Amino acid sequence: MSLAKKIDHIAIVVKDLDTAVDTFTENFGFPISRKGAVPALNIERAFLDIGDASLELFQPTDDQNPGTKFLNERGEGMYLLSLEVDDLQKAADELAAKGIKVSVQALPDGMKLGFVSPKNAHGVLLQLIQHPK
Amino acid sequence: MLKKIHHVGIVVRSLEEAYRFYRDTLGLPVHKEATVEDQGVRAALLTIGNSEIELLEPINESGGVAKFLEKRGEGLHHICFETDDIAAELEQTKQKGIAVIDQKPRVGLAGMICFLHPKANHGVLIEYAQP
Repeated sequence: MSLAKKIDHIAIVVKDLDTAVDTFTENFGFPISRKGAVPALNIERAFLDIGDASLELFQPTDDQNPGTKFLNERGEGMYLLSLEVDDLQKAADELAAKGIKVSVQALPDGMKLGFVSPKNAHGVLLQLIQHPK
Repeated sequence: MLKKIHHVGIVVRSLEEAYRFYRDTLGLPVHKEATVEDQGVRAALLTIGNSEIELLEPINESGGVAKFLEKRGEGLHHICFETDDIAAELEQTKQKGIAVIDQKPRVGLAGMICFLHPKANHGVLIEYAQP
């Protein structure tokens, strides 16, 4: 049984959100589903939908966001893979039982995020996401 | 028209080691595994929802995947969008002036495929596939 049910989104870190949104909408025609600032994460971001998943373009708004370090060291590009789960706590417990730590964070809108270190996921910053019911 | 994310490509040192996490720990079934000589990789597709995760292990030192691994280490490599008509999609892409790597679709693990240049898409390597 798979621990996650689908790809939720792929996050791409960019220097300027509006420029990147223009590029991706003009190049591929994906519709924008949500756009705005997320103060809890120190980012501004936009979701572009494709099929049942989306691309999240995000611009860090200060040096606290780890995306800033990524931009400085590697430049723009793919930052994170997010997989949807029904029950984040259950998934985190299952992974913990297998020796993999998941750091869990709840957002004000009810979204729950869990992060698996790239050390455990072959260089991939892996996010598990549980949407509000 | 681009319909969905066909797969997300991840470069790894060893397919066998990566299976321990992606197949065994996350429980994603391996749907296909093959050597793609012209890309210099052994690759596997693991099913997640109606998309896949593609693991790529270099089999020589000269391919693009080997160079990526040497320069940046393991990690996220590309995003592949699925289309019903890759020839038309690629033609339209070129007409928009978007830089591409492949001038024509070619055979890959996901079917007929082509890659666009990452400089055209904010550092993201994009692939199209027609399964």
